[in-house]
Amino acid sequence: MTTSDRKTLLAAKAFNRRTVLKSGAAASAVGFTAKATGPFVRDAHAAELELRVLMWANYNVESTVTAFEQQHGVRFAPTYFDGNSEAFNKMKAGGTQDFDLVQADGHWPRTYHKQGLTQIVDPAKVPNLANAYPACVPPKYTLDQVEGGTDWVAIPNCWGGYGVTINTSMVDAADAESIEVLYNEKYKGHIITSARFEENIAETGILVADRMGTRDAARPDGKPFNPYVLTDEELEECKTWLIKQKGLLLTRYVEYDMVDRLMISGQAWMSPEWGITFRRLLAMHRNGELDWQARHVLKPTEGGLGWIDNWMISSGVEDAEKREICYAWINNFLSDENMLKVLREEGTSSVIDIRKHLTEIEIEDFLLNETEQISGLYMFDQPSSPEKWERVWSEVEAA
Amino acid sequence: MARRVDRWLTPVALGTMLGLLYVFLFAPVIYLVYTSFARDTTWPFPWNPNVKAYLNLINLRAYQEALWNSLGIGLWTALISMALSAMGSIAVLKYRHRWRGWFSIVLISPMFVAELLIGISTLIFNRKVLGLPGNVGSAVIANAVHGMSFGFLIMLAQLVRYDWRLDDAAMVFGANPWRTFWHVTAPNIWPAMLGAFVITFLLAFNNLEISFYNLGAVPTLPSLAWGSLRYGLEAELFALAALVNGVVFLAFVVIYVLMRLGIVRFGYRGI
Amino acid sequence: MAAPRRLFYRSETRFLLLGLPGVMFVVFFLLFPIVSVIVFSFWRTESYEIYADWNLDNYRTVLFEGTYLTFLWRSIVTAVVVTAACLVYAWPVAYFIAKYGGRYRLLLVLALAAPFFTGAVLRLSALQAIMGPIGVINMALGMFGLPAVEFLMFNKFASGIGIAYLYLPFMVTAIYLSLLNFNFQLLNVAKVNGARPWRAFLTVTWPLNWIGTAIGITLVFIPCLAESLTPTFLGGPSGKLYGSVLGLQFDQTGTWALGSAMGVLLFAVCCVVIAVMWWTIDLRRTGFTGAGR
Repeated sequence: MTTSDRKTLLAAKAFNRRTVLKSGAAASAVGFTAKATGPFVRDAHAAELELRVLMWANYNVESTVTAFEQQHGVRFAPTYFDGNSEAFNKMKAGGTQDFDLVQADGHWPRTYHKQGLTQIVDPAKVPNLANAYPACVPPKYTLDQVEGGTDWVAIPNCWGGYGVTINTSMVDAADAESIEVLYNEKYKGHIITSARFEENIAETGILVADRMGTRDAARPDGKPFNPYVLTDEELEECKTWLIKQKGLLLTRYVEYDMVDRLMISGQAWMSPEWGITFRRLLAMHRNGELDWQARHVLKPTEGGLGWIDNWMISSGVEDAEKREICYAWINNFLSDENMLKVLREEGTSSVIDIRKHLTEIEIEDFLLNETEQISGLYMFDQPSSPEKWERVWSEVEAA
Repeated sequence: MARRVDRWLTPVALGTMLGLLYVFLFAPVIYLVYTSFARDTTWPFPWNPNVKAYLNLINLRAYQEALWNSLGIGLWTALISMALSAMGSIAVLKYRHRWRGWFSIVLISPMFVAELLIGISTLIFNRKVLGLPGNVGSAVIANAVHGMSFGFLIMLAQLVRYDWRLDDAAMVFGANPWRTFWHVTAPNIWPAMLGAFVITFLLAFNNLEISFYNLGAVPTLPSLAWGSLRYGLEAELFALAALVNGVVFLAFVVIYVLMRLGIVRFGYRGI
Repeated sequence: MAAPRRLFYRSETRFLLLGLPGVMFVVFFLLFPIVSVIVFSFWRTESYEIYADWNLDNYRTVLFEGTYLTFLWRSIVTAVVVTAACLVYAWPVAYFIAKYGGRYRLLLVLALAAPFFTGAVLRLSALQAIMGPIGVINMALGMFGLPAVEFLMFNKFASGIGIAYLYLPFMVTAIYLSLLNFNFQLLNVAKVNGARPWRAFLTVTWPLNWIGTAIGITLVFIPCLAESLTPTFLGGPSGKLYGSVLGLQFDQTGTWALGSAMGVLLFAVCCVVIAVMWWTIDLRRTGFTGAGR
């Protein structure tokens, strides 16, 4: 008898005991699988109404969500994204069936609506909007309405800029006023910028148009200057600047932790950002944890980028009950109580005037007495030709 | 004398290499666990132990849901991948058939395709051709296609020297194919199957690039982490990762104790 | 005559029963989607909209405007270097586990897989926190008054370490699984016959475990080629790889047609790599015991 034959016989002998052991193991495995797969099997057939939201992570305030869920008997299901074009692509690829609410900023709500991804909204159903800063709503700010019309396509909730945060102990005050500080040989190896292609090109576009003298001249499209609508010559010049800048950069950041770490440690001396790191640096300085003062240049001499975030209702929302829930969510979001949480917990300024609840220091940190500045900022937009911008960005990255 | 030195020097040198590899692989994980207890996740020095993030987890349903979704996707993917890859590898290795080469190529082919492309192409196909919205099922399937090729290769690597005469012998003794598999083949190849299961589970559990495009509104751990990058990773994510690692560590301790006591041997036939 | 024919028939049935489900799975859920990518690569996008205008412009852009080939070349070089480094490190480690791991060797291998329970985003972010300019390593050096190690920060080297970090366990596992069934006594036979240890390794151990090694190489090389996440965290301003730019087309710029063409090119390169690996495998020399010996 060969070894393998013997093995076979032994295997046959072990049959009974092994079968018992195995079925036990199998049963527990099945139990575990059922537990683990339970939630999404249940989700798929959920009877309760689900509010599916494509949003920025920082607006998910847990206590607000829980209270809202209990009050309206719905389940809140958020999905997060980073940049506008990322969310837009997701909506474009059939996302209207996946999401009820979606967020976007600047010019983007118009684009969403033009593409049939979102529906017209009624501001009258959002009573909390009455307390908004004038600079954030029509007639001063009209990007939430269809172009040349009065129908609303989005409800604003928060605003901010994309200014440059500066380490004042390292960077000359005179240099800090201009965007050019980000391209200055003097600060080689201590500059960081975001990894997003749109804002990098747009910010360079402002500088380039200023230097070329094309910013205030007549634009080819007959509209006022928009850094997201650049001519081929301007784009070509942007490319040159960006390639030159690459040699000066420490890195490009995708995560905010990186900005904090690099700025606090003094490795990086300047970074365009939303102002979050800036407020953190200010607080640290006040507490004596940081021996230098930070500064945030919201609007450099050439001009700056800004944004107003909005809620939009997806065109996939067709039944009235769901639509009411969407409005209820937006209105609830704009309540003083929630906006205070968004400001204090997530560090984002609200479009609702909540100054009466805030301390003097908070009002100063969040630049809340300067909301009129919003009107002077170039709003985030969709690149006029993503194809051309992609090419410029790839050539910069490959250089 | 030289030989005796050589006899212990080799294992010590190689063992040191393994040790260093563990240090390298686990350093970031240890850092995550450490940071999960810190008050400040971006600047966790000096250390102020703090369990706030863990307490928050109890109330944050988004994280719990993401964890269960990731587990579900991982388990289903692993089951499908393991079954298909085990069947495929047995077919290819055991039977002389004119299509054997082609079958192998087809079964390995998902590996030729970058994860990102699998994600994107499945998205395009589901949306534009089939008109399906994002859902867990298509994420599982897209992950399983990818996982299957990994499972297949892992099975091949181990079964390439498996003695199929064992199976034939069992058949000669009158066992039917199913019994043969269960009592002869499976006990011998199960380490490979377990390997395929574990690897495909891990690939799917934390997959970002395939799942991202196919999930629609369903959150998973990696998509949560990716989504929160804009404003920095939240302490709760670190805490959840630390908890998952805690469970894994416990599992290892249990396996170790069981092996130490000789209760399980995991196919090891030595002393 | 009848009996062997029936036997043949039965084994054919079993082959198909076992093999076809996997094959059909791939055809339905990979081949069809890939065909749609190939179709897209001949179309055109404009402002996030895709139009079915058949053309070759995407390929012209990808193949003849150096930019995208630069990324591809970067990725190939990275993949070659990282795979070679992984190979050199993985072999001794796998060998150690298989030969000296004793009854705990499964545990030792599983421990290599354990870090995968944590997502790549979190681990890479932590790796960056450890290696970065103000990371744990450089802070420790600073405490002893030593200068910071520049080469670990935001450059291709750091990115390479990150990629190796992600895929090294694949290589170790593949080689280990192969060694698991390797008869170590063959080495003693070689030594008894007067072979020096290195010669024994090169003439016996290495060729007999080449399949496992080749699989390990493939498992590391292909994901390296397509890597997109690591350079984002660790690569610095000039470290973008092909995979990152490919991802950009779909996530951000919405240039799906160009992205599809890039995908097709990547697919083609991977096919060449696999074909080369396949060609190096000589079943007979690796102790193949399946049908067809």
